[in-house]
Amino acid sequence: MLPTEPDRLSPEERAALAALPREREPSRMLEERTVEALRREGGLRSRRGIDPHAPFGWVAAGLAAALALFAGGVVVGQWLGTRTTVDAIVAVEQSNAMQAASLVQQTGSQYAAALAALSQVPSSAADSGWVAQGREVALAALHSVADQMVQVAPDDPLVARILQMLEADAAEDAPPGETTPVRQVVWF
Amino acid sequence: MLWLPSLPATQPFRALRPPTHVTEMTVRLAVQPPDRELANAVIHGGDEGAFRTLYRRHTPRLYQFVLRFLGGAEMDAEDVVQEVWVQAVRKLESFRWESRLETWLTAIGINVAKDHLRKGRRKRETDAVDVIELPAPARSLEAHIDLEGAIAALPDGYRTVLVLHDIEGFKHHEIADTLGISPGTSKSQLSGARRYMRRLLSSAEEENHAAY
Repeated sequence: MLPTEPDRLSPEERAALAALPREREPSRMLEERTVEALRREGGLRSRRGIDPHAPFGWVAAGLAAALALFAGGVVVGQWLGTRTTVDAIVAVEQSNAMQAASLVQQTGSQYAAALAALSQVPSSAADSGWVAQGREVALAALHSVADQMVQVAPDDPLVARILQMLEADAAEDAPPGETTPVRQVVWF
Repeated sequence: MLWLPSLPATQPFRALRPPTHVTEMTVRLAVQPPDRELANAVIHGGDEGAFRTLYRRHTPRLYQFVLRFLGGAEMDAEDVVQEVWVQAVRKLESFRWESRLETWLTAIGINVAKDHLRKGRRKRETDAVDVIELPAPARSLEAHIDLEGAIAALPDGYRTVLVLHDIEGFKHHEIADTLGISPGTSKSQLSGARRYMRRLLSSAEEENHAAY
Protein backbone atom coordinates (compact mmCIF):
# COMPACT_ATOMS: atom_id res chain seq x y z
CA MET A 1 0.00 0.00 0.00
CA LEU A 2 3.01 2.30 -0.38
CA PRO A 3 2.55 5.14 -2.86
CA THR A 4 5.12 6.33 -5.36
CA GLU A 5 5.02 9.89 -3.96
CA PRO A 6 5.03 10.25 -0.18
CA ASP A 7 2.39 13.01 -0.06
CA ARG A 8 -0.02 11.59 -2.62
CA LEU A 9 -2.40 8.73 -2.25
CA SER A 10 -1.79 5.68 -4.35
CA PRO A 11 -4.77 4.30 -6.32
CA GLU A 12 -4.94 1.43 -3.81
CA GLU A 13 -5.04 3.85 -0.88
CA ARG A 14 -7.65 5.96 -2.61
CA ALA A 15 -9.79 2.90 -3.24
CA ALA A 16 -9.40 1.70 0.34
CA LEU A 17 -10.47 5.07 1.71
CA ALA A 18 -13.40 5.23 -0.70
CA ALA A 19 -14.51 1.79 0.43
CA LEU A 20 -14.80 2.79 4.08
CA PRO A 21 -18.41 2.68 5.30
CA ARG A 22 -20.27 5.97 5.24
CA GLU A 23 -23.07 5.01 7.58
CA ARG A 24 -23.29 3.35 10.94
CA GLU A 25 -26.18 2.91 13.34
CA PRO A 26 -25.66 4.26 16.83
CA SER A 27 -27.24 2.53 19.81
CA ARG A 28 -31.02 2.60 19.94
CA MET A 29 -30.91 4.53 23.19
CA LEU A 30 -29.47 7.57 21.45
CA GLU A 31 -32.72 8.37 19.66
CA GLU A 32 -34.65 8.30 22.92
CA ARG A 33 -32.00 10.34 24.70
CA THR A 34 -32.07 12.93 21.94
CA VAL A 35 -35.87 13.14 21.86
CA GLU A 36 -35.90 13.47 25.64
CA ALA A 37 -33.33 16.27 25.52
CA LEU A 38 -35.38 18.09 22.90
CA ARG A 39 -38.56 17.69 24.93
CA ARG A 40 -36.81 19.21 27.93
CA GLU A 41 -35.71 22.12 25.74
CA GLY A 42 -39.25 22.58 24.48
CA GLY A 43 -38.27 21.79 20.91
CA LEU A 44 -40.63 18.82 20.73
CA ARG A 45 -44.08 18.11 22.08
CA SER A 46 -44.48 14.90 24.06
CA ARG A 47 -46.49 12.17 22.34
CA ARG A 48 -46.48 9.83 25.28
CA GLY A 49 -49.40 9.20 27.58
CA ILE A 50 -47.09 9.12 30.59
CA ASP A 51 -46.04 12.53 31.80
CA PRO A 52 -42.22 12.65 31.72
CA HIS A 53 -42.29 15.03 34.68
CA ALA A 54 -44.33 12.66 36.84
CA PRO A 55 -43.28 12.40 40.50
CA PHE A 56 -40.26 10.19 41.02
CA GLY A 57 -42.23 7.79 43.21
CA TRP A 58 -44.54 6.87 40.37
CA VAL A 59 -41.66 6.50 37.95
CA ALA A 60 -39.90 4.27 40.47
CA ALA A 61 -43.10 2.26 40.94
CA GLY A 62 -43.39 1.90 37.19
CA LEU A 63 -39.76 0.84 37.01
CA ALA A 64 -40.20 -1.76 39.74
CA ALA A 65 -43.37 -3.08 38.16
CA ALA A 66 -41.75 -3.27 34.76
CA LEU A 67 -38.83 -5.18 36.23
CA ALA A 68 -41.33 -7.62 37.71
CA LEU A 69 -42.80 -7.97 34.25
CA PHE A 70 -39.26 -8.44 32.94
CA ALA A 71 -38.76 -11.42 35.28
CA GLY A 72 -42.25 -12.79 34.90
CA GLY A 73 -42.21 -12.81 31.14
CA VAL A 74 -40.43 -16.17 31.10
CA VAL A 75 -42.61 -18.81 29.45
CA VAL A 76 -45.91 -17.59 30.91
CA GLY A 77 -46.43 -15.33 27.94
CA GLN A 78 -47.76 -18.45 26.23
CA TRP A 79 -50.19 -19.18 29.04
CA LEU A 80 -51.60 -15.76 29.36
CA GLY A 81 -51.61 -15.13 25.64
CA THR A 82 -50.06 -12.31 23.70
CA ARG A 83 -53.40 -10.57 23.31
CA THR A 84 -53.56 -9.84 27.03
CA THR A 85 -50.19 -8.13 26.89
CA VAL A 86 -51.12 -6.12 23.83
CA ASP A 87 -54.33 -4.98 25.51
CA ALA A 88 -52.42 -4.08 28.64
CA ILE A 89 -49.90 -2.04 26.69
CA VAL A 90 -52.64 -0.25 24.80
CA ALA A 91 -54.32 0.48 28.11
CA VAL A 92 -51.05 1.78 29.52
CA GLU A 93 -50.69 4.21 26.65
CA GLN A 94 -54.21 5.49 27.18
CA SER A 95 -53.99 5.97 30.93
CA ASN A 96 -52.47 8.67 33.02
CA ALA A 97 -49.27 8.11 34.97
CA MET A 98 -50.93 6.77 38.09
CA GLN A 99 -53.20 4.33 36.29
CA ALA A 100 -50.38 3.24 34.01
CA ALA A 101 -48.02 2.52 36.89
CA SER A 102 -50.74 0.59 38.77
CA LEU A 103 -51.60 -1.45 35.72
CA VAL A 104 -47.96 -2.34 35.08
CA GLN A 105 -47.57 -3.32 38.71
CA GLN A 106 -50.70 -5.48 38.65
CA THR A 107 -49.79 -7.16 35.36
CA GLY A 108 -46.21 -7.71 36.47
CA SER A 109 -47.40 -9.38 39.67
CA GLN A 110 -49.66 -11.69 37.67
CA TYR A 111 -46.79 -12.67 35.40
CA ALA A 112 -44.50 -13.28 38.35
CA ALA A 113 -47.13 -15.44 40.10
CA ALA A 114 -47.78 -17.48 36.96
CA LEU A 115 -44.06 -17.97 36.46
CA ALA A 116 -43.67 -19.20 40.02
CA ALA A 117 -46.41 -21.78 39.35
CA LEU A 118 -44.70 -22.87 36.14
CA SER A 119 -41.36 -23.32 37.87
CA GLN A 120 -42.98 -26.02 40.04
CA VAL A 121 -43.84 -28.15 36.99
CA PRO A 122 -41.24 -30.96 36.60
CA SER A 123 -39.43 -30.78 33.25
CA SER A 124 -38.70 -33.72 30.95
CA ALA A 125 -37.07 -34.36 27.57
CA ALA A 126 -40.52 -34.44 25.99
CA ASP A 127 -41.00 -30.84 27.09
CA SER A 128 -37.79 -29.52 25.54
CA GLY A 129 -39.63 -27.98 22.58
CA TRP A 130 -41.87 -26.09 24.95
CA VAL A 131 -38.85 -24.95 26.91
CA ALA A 132 -37.23 -23.57 23.74
CA GLN A 133 -40.45 -21.78 22.87
CA GLY A 134 -40.71 -20.50 26.38
CA ARG A 135 -37.19 -19.17 26.26
CA GLU A 136 -37.95 -17.31 23.06
CA VAL A 137 -41.14 -15.88 24.48
CA ALA A 138 -39.23 -14.85 27.57
CA LEU A 139 -36.43 -13.17 25.65
CA ALA A 140 -38.87 -11.40 23.35
CA ALA A 141 -40.80 -10.17 26.38
CA LEU A 142 -37.61 -9.02 28.08
CA HIS A 143 -36.47 -7.24 24.95
CA SER A 144 -39.83 -5.57 24.51
CA VAL A 145 -39.89 -4.45 28.14
CA ALA A 146 -36.32 -3.16 27.93
CA ASP A 147 -37.26 -1.20 24.79
CA GLN A 148 -40.14 0.40 26.63
CA MET A 149 -38.00 1.04 29.69
CA VAL A 150 -35.54 3.01 27.60
CA GLN A 151 -38.42 5.31 26.72
CA VAL A 152 -39.54 5.61 30.34
CA ALA A 153 -36.02 6.16 31.70
CA PRO A 154 -33.68 7.03 28.81
CA ASP A 155 -30.86 8.13 31.12
CA ASP A 156 -30.94 5.05 33.33
CA PRO A 157 -27.63 3.20 32.82
CA LEU A 158 -29.05 -0.07 34.21
CA VAL A 159 -31.80 -0.14 31.60
CA ALA A 160 -29.30 0.74 28.89
CA ARG A 161 -27.02 -2.11 29.94
CA ILE A 162 -29.91 -4.57 30.01
CA LEU A 163 -30.94 -3.58 26.48
CA GLN A 164 -27.35 -3.79 25.25
CA MET A 165 -26.98 -7.27 26.73
CA LEU A 166 -30.21 -8.44 25.14
CA GLU A 167 -29.22 -7.03 21.76
CA ALA A 168 -25.80 -8.64 22.00
CA ASP A 169 -27.46 -11.94 22.93
CA ALA A 170 -29.88 -11.69 20.00
CA ALA A 171 -26.99 -10.98 17.63
CA GLU A 172 -25.10 -14.02 18.92
CA ASP A 173 -28.14 -16.25 18.45
CA ALA A 174 -28.63 -15.12 14.88
CA PRO A 175 -27.42 -17.46 12.14
CA PRO A 176 -24.39 -16.28 10.07
CA GLY A 177 -25.33 -13.44 7.75
CA GLU A 178 -28.64 -12.82 9.52
CA THR A 179 -29.51 -10.16 12.08
CA THR A 180 -32.36 -11.99 13.76
CA PRO A 181 -32.17 -15.34 15.50
CA VAL A 182 -34.06 -18.41 14.32
CA ARG A 183 -37.53 -18.33 15.87
CA GLN A 184 -39.36 -21.17 17.54
CA VAL A 185 -42.62 -19.31 18.00
CA VAL A 186 -44.89 -17.73 15.42
CA TRP A 187 -45.84 -14.24 16.63
CA PHE A 188 -49.09 -12.60 15.63
CA MET B 1 -63.04 15.66 -36.92
CA LEU B 2 -60.46 14.77 -34.32
CA TRP B 3 -59.45 11.14 -34.37
CA LEU B 4 -58.10 9.58 -31.22
CA PRO B 5 -56.51 6.18 -31.26
CA SER B 6 -58.18 3.75 -28.94
CA LEU B 7 -55.81 2.46 -26.36
CA PRO B 8 -56.24 -0.39 -23.96
CA ALA B 9 -57.57 0.92 -20.68
CA THR B 10 -54.59 -0.32 -18.74
CA GLN B 11 -51.94 1.39 -20.83
CA PRO B 12 -51.75 4.79 -19.10
CA PHE B 13 -51.51 3.10 -15.74
CA ARG B 14 -48.76 0.79 -16.89
CA ALA B 15 -46.63 3.81 -17.67
CA LEU B 16 -46.95 5.00 -14.08
CA ARG B 17 -45.56 1.81 -12.64
CA PRO B 18 -41.95 1.97 -11.54
CA PRO B 19 -39.48 0.21 -13.82
CA THR B 20 -38.48 -3.25 -12.73
CA HIS B 21 -35.06 -2.17 -11.48
CA VAL B 22 -36.64 0.19 -8.92
CA THR B 23 -36.53 -1.63 -5.63
CA GLU B 24 -39.17 -1.54 -2.96
CA MET B 25 -36.76 0.44 -0.81
CA THR B 26 -36.37 3.12 -3.48
CA VAL B 27 -40.12 3.45 -3.87
CA ARG B 28 -40.56 3.70 -0.13
CA LEU B 29 -37.93 6.42 0.11
CA ALA B 30 -39.48 8.31 -2.77
CA VAL B 31 -42.83 8.62 -1.03
CA GLN B 32 -41.39 9.73 2.30
CA PRO B 33 -41.86 13.43 3.07
CA PRO B 34 -38.91 15.61 2.08
CA ASP B 35 -36.61 17.04 4.74
CA ARG B 36 -38.03 20.52 4.45
CA GLU B 37 -41.60 19.39 5.07
CA LEU B 38 -40.52 17.41 8.12
CA ALA B 39 -38.41 20.30 9.38
CA ASN B 40 -41.39 22.66 9.12
CA ALA B 41 -43.49 20.22 11.15
CA VAL B 42 -40.79 20.27 13.84
CA ILE B 43 -40.43 24.06 13.79
CA HIS B 44 -44.11 24.93 13.83
CA GLY B 45 -45.64 22.04 15.73
CA GLY B 46 -42.83 20.41 17.66
CA ASP B 47 -43.83 17.25 15.82
CA GLU B 48 -41.96 14.36 17.41
CA GLY B 49 -42.82 11.93 14.63
CA ALA B 50 -41.40 14.28 12.02
CA PHE B 51 -38.26 14.69 14.09
CA ARG B 52 -37.83 10.95 14.48
CA THR B 53 -38.10 10.52 10.71
CA LEU B 54 -35.42 13.15 10.15
CA TYR B 55 -33.28 11.60 12.88
CA ARG B 56 -33.49 8.10 11.41
CA ARG B 57 -32.80 9.39 7.93
CA HIS B 58 -29.65 11.36 8.75
CA THR B 59 -28.16 9.98 11.94
CA PRO B 60 -26.34 6.91 10.53
CA ARG B 61 -24.32 9.14 8.19
CA LEU B 62 -23.74 11.77 10.87
CA TYR B 63 -22.80 9.21 13.50
CA GLN B 64 -20.25 7.46 11.27
CA PHE B 65 -18.66 10.79 10.41
CA VAL B 66 -18.47 11.99 14.03
CA LEU B 67 -17.23 8.61 15.23
CA ARG B 68 -14.39 8.66 12.72
CA PHE B 69 -13.62 12.33 13.43
CA LEU B 70 -13.31 11.55 17.15
CA GLY B 71 -11.18 8.47 16.58
CA GLY B 72 -13.67 5.74 17.35
CA ALA B 73 -14.90 6.81 20.78
CA GLU B 74 -18.50 5.59 20.61
CA MET B 75 -19.84 7.18 23.78
CA ASP B 76 -18.31 10.53 22.86
CA ALA B 77 -19.67 10.23 19.34
CA GLU B 78 -23.17 9.64 20.68
CA ASP B 79 -22.90 12.65 22.97
CA VAL B 80 -21.81 14.76 20.03
CA VAL B 81 -24.59 13.49 17.75
CA GLN B 82 -27.17 14.26 20.43
CA GLU B 83 -25.80 17.77 20.82
CA VAL B 84 -25.81 18.22 17.03
CA TRP B 85 -29.52 17.42 16.87
CA VAL B 86 -30.33 19.67 19.82
CA GLN B 87 -28.47 22.55 18.17
CA ALA B 88 -29.97 21.75 14.77
CA VAL B 89 -33.55 21.87 16.07
CA ARG B 90 -32.73 25.10 17.91
CA LYS B 91 -31.38 26.68 14.71
CA LEU B 92 -33.66 24.95 12.22
CA GLU B 93 -35.82 28.01 11.67
CA SER B 94 -32.80 30.00 10.50
CA PHE B 95 -31.61 27.29 8.09
CA ARG B 96 -32.07 28.73 4.60
CA TRP B 97 -32.04 25.46 2.65
CA GLU B 98 -29.28 26.65 0.34
CA SER B 99 -27.48 23.40 1.05
CA ARG B 100 -28.75 19.95 1.86
CA LEU B 101 -29.80 19.33 5.44
CA GLU B 102 -27.21 16.55 5.60
CA THR B 103 -24.42 19.01 4.74
CA TRP B 104 -25.65 21.46 7.36
CA LEU B 105 -25.76 18.72 10.00
CA THR B 106 -22.20 17.72 9.12
CA ALA B 107 -21.07 21.32 9.56
CA ILE B 108 -22.69 21.48 13.00
CA GLY B 109 -21.15 18.08 13.73
CA ILE B 110 -17.65 19.34 12.93
CA ASN B 111 -18.06 22.31 15.29
CA VAL B 112 -19.46 20.26 18.14
CA ALA B 113 -16.88 17.48 17.69
CA LYS B 114 -14.09 20.05 17.49
CA ASP B 115 -15.23 21.60 20.77
CA HIS B 116 -15.45 18.14 22.25
CA LEU B 117 -11.85 17.39 21.32
CA ARG B 118 -10.70 20.80 22.53
CA LYS B 119 -12.28 20.35 25.91
CA GLY B 120 -10.19 17.23 26.29
CA ARG B 121 -13.09 15.01 27.25
CA ARG B 122 -11.33 12.25 25.46
CA LYS B 123 -7.79 11.24 26.42
CA ARG B 124 -5.78 12.40 23.45
CA GLU B 125 -2.37 11.93 22.09
CA THR B 126 -0.14 14.97 21.59
CA ASP B 127 -1.59 17.48 19.15
CA ALA B 128 -0.06 16.77 15.74
CA VAL B 129 0.63 20.48 15.15
CA ASP B 130 3.37 20.26 17.75
CA VAL B 131 4.78 16.97 16.55
CA ILE B 132 8.08 17.28 14.74
CA GLU B 133 9.55 13.82 15.14
CA LEU B 134 6.87 11.19 14.83
CA PRO B 135 7.07 8.67 17.62
CA ALA B 136 6.97 5.03 16.60
CA PRO B 137 3.54 3.59 17.35
CA ALA B 138 3.35 1.30 20.34
CA ARG B 139 3.94 -2.30 19.27
CA SER B 140 0.72 -3.51 20.81
CA LEU B 141 -1.10 -1.06 18.58
CA GLU B 142 0.55 -2.31 15.45
CA ALA B 143 -0.72 -5.84 15.40
CA HIS B 144 -3.83 -6.59 13.37
CA ILE B 145 -4.57 -2.95 12.72
CA ASP B 146 -6.79 -2.13 9.73
CA LEU B 147 -7.35 1.11 7.87
CA GLU B 148 -10.17 2.22 10.16
CA GLY B 149 -8.01 1.39 13.15
CA ALA B 150 -5.08 3.29 11.72
CA ILE B 151 -7.24 6.38 11.21
CA ALA B 152 -8.53 6.11 14.74
CA ALA B 153 -4.97 5.83 16.06
CA LEU B 154 -3.84 9.09 14.43
CA PRO B 155 -3.29 12.11 16.66
CA ASP B 156 -6.38 14.35 16.67
CA GLY B 157 -4.88 17.09 14.49
CA TYR B 158 -3.84 14.61 11.84
CA ARG B 159 -7.02 12.59 11.94
CA THR B 160 -9.44 15.51 11.62
CA VAL B 161 -7.70 16.81 8.50
CA LEU B 162 -7.35 13.37 6.94
CA VAL B 163 -11.01 12.52 7.56
CA LEU B 164 -12.21 15.80 6.10
CA HIS B 165 -9.90 15.74 3.07
CA ASP B 166 -9.39 12.11 2.12
CA ILE B 167 -12.75 10.69 3.19
CA GLU B 168 -15.24 13.56 3.12
CA GLY B 169 -13.72 15.33 0.14
CA PHE B 170 -13.19 18.79 1.64
CA LYS B 171 -10.68 21.17 -0.02
CA HIS B 172 -7.79 22.60 1.99
CA HIS B 173 -9.30 26.09 2.10
CA GLU B 174 -12.60 24.63 3.35
CA ILE B 175 -10.78 22.67 6.04
CA ALA B 176 -8.89 25.81 6.97
CA ASP B 177 -12.15 27.75 7.37
CA THR B 178 -13.84 24.96 9.26
CA LEU B 179 -11.05 24.17 11.69
CA GLY B 180 -9.70 27.70 12.04
CA ILE B 181 -6.25 26.91 10.70
CA SER B 182 -4.35 28.10 7.62
CA PRO B 183 -4.51 26.17 4.33
CA GLY B 184 -0.76 25.56 4.66
CA THR B 185 -1.26 23.95 8.04
CA SER B 186 -4.03 21.81 6.58
CA LYS B 187 -1.67 20.58 3.84
CA SER B 188 1.17 19.80 6.21
CA GLN B 189 -1.20 18.06 8.61
CA LEU B 190 -2.54 15.93 5.78
CA SER B 191 0.96 15.02 4.65
CA GLY B 192 1.94 14.05 8.18
CA ALA B 193 -1.29 12.13 8.65
CA ARG B 194 -0.76 10.05 5.53
CA ARG B 195 2.83 9.23 6.50
CA TYR B 196 1.79 8.29 10.01
CA MET B 197 -1.06 6.15 8.73
CA ARG B 198 1.19 4.30 6.28
CA ARG B 199 3.66 3.66 9.04
CA LEU B 200 0.96 2.17 11.22
CA LEU B 201 -0.32 -0.01 8.41
CA SER B 202 3.07 -1.24 7.20
CA SER B 203 4.18 -2.00 10.75
CA ALA B 204 1.00 -3.96 11.30
CA GLU B 205 1.53 -5.82 8.04
CA GLU B 206 5.06 -6.82 9.03
CA GLU B 207 3.89 -7.83 12.45
CA ASN B 208 1.11 -9.97 11.03
CA HIS B 209 3.47 -11.65 8.54
CA ALA B 210 5.86 -12.42 11.36
CA ALA B 211 3.03 -13.88 13.39
CA TYR B 212 2.12 -16.34 10.64
